[in-house]
Amino acid sequence: MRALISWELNRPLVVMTFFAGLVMGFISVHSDYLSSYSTVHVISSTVSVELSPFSLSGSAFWHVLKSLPRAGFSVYSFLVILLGTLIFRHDRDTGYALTLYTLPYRKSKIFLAKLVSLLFLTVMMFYFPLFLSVFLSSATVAVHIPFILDGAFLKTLILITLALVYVATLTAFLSMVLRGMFPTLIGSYLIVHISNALGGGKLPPFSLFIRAMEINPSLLDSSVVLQGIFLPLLLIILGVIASERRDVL
Amino acid sequence: MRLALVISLFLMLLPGLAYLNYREFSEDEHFIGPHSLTPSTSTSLNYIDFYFPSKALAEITCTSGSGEIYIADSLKKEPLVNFSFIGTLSAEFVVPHEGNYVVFYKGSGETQCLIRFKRPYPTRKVQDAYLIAGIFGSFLFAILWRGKR
Repeated sequence: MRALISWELNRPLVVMTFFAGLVMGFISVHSDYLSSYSTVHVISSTVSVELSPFSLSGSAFWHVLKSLPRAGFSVYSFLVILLGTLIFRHDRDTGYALTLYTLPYRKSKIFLAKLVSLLFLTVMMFYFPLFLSVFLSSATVAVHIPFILDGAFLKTLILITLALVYVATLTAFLSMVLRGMFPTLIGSYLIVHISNALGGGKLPPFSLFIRAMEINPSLLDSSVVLQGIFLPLLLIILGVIASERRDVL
Repeated sequence: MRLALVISLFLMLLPGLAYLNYREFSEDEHFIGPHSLTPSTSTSLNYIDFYFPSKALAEITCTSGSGEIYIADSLKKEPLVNFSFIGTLSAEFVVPHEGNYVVFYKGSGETQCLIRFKRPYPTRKVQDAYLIAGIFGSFLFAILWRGKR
């Protein structure tokens, strides 16, 4: 399994796409970080206490940081689909999969190794530019950032990660079912974008995305568990079955 | 191995990418407001909480009302500047670093404030942070490249 994963992670085309993803992700997230933001607040208390402006939390900063994980989502969904198609279909389309699949590995094991490397690359591609752009761009006040990042920020990150995992598993499943790189690419793109138009924000991945926009999103909601955890698991199981039952084509 | 090489290459390019983004950011005009503020007392505080992502020269314009405008750095918890005015205020101050600031007002009558930001540039520390990341990436890249041969 480890040999298979390291083989997948070292394919030159995959690594090149990952590099392009890091660059594109950083540019989009960082340019979204570079924006001003302001809110007006009123604090009043019934008892006469000294209200000090220095005890106020940096809520405008928090809003900017919380909007960052959503910033590059369209870029990332595109990159995840591209990377997934490349990992799952490129070897089959160019024909060297026929030699690879003569090795003593089960077809489902190769599928799972490819899936693990896709998820690893997706998570790396998402978190690495995000945290680099936040911490390096606020180096002057970097010591204050950990106090601003709280549970709500973590929940936003988890929800966006779940949305990306859904896109990745959808690509994995479709690449087992459809034949060819372009049908997979167009099919997964079509499904991701049509679910936005049809569902009105009720179908994944945009339902998770809309949930992440809330001030303090809840994770243990039935729709989040269903769409963020059960649906990807179902797609993985279907993908394993399809990879076992179909020829390497 | 190739993955680590690519990540170090990304770190090496990071200062350049950040420069491109900051250049575009510096050329644009940025402003917040207009927000209306009521005078703050000891029991109620009405304030603008704003965030700006770099160092900049700021110009605050307030119309109507009279009294004093206070601007404070809310991350470092220290006062930045204050201006007294009657009728209208037009004053300049320096936003010293990226982060959160609060603007509040003591006096009489409601006032409307607008803040414009001119010539925003990243602070020296931010530039250094990006350059250090780039230098670290270049070293890593060199070591990995040598190891590969």
